[in-house]
Amino acid sequence: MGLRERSFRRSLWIYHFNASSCNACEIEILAAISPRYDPERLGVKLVGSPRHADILLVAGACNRFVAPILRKVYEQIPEPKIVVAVGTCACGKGVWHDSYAIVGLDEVIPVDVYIPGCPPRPYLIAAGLAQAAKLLEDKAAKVGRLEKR
Amino acid sequence: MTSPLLVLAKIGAAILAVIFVGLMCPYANWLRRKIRAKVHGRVGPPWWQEYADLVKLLYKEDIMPATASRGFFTLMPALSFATAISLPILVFPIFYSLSDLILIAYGLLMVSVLLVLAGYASNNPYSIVGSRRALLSVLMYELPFVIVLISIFILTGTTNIFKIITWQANNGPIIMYLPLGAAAFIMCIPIKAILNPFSIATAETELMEGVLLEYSGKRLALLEFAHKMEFYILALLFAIIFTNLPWFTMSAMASNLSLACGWIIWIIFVAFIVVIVSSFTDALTARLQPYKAPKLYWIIATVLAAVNLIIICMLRLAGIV
Repeated sequence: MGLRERSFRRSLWIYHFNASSCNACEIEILAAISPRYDPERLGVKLVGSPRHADILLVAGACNRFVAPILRKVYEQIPEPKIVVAVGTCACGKGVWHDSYAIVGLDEVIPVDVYIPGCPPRPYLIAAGLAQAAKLLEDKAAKVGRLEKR
Repeated sequence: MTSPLLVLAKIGAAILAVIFVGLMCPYANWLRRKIRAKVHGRVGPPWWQEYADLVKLLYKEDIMPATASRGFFTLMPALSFATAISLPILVFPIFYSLSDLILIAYGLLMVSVLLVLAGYASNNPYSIVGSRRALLSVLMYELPFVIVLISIFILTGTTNIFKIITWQANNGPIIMYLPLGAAAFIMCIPIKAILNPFSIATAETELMEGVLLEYSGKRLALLEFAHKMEFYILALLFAIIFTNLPWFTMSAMASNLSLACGWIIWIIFVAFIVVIVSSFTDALTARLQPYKAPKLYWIIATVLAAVNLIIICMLRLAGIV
């Protein structure tokens, strides 16, 4: 494992996006980054700008208004990047599965990690972030191999 | 006059100083994050965290925003980094004509102003507001900072770091003569390093990192590095110009290597204490509203510095110091 992969694994900067969520997942995300779970010891840091982020943490079912904005934010994040869907609404469409206003997260951006639950427990979010770190490392390794070629 | 061997040794010392400060400044920043975590009752990041962050940013994709001014967007991080890595050569007494307080003041101002220009170059509304705030903070701290430097000049009669170190060795550390000035200097550190009570320029909750918002990848790494460097350089500068112990004269250190090593250890120790003090204020305070910070600086810090300047002038006129 080279320096590149190791640094990507140990430094996760998260941009949190609310795609028409009911705020329950937001509260659990804040609980997950609270002192009790302390993801900073794994290198997790909440950043204010998508340009700095490695991981896009999305909660909510994503309605038609939010979809183009979410797409834009996703495109603003520099490669390599990972999308984590938090909550049942973001994973499937949840109780909104037959709503005319809901697009569904998967149809807007490619999602890498799904964290189910309504809302998911903070430790599930932490576990999801650990999985995302592994995926980010793999992606960084892939980018490194492509650059070498 | 000077032998080429001595010049080579000095260049070697300068390179060592740059490497040392370059490696130490992420560590100082990690210390700040760790203290913050301890105050919150958390475990905090491991010691390599800041290095991992910087290395990761070097490998990230570099995005040029469509709205940004292309030349300035590329130039500003590079210039900022170049200024930052030249600062250790100025602060440590290596080259006699380079180690000058005026030059250091310009170098430190340069890093801040380049950050302001970097914000303007990205042409994002949030960055421009951040740049305005950063410019306001430059105006805020520069007045007390320069008054402190002027009082040091009046006290020692020189702006050269070599002479200031020797003056302190002969007459006792300057912090004894300028306690209020030292307090004003300490007050300038958080705003220069954009730490918490005065982190109004890169307020991540209101302005989404403000000045740094559009920067990604390598450019962000360079800007962050310059910013970290400035924080540590300020701590080192405080240690050198305020707290030098009696037996560390320049002539004694030039001939005695172990004494020079002792001086370096003492300077690092004092810088460490300054970093810890700034970290505690960072962890224990909340961000001030932008319009409240100037009042604090222009009234409290400037008055502290000015009172000490007047006292020093009077002592000087009376011939006591």
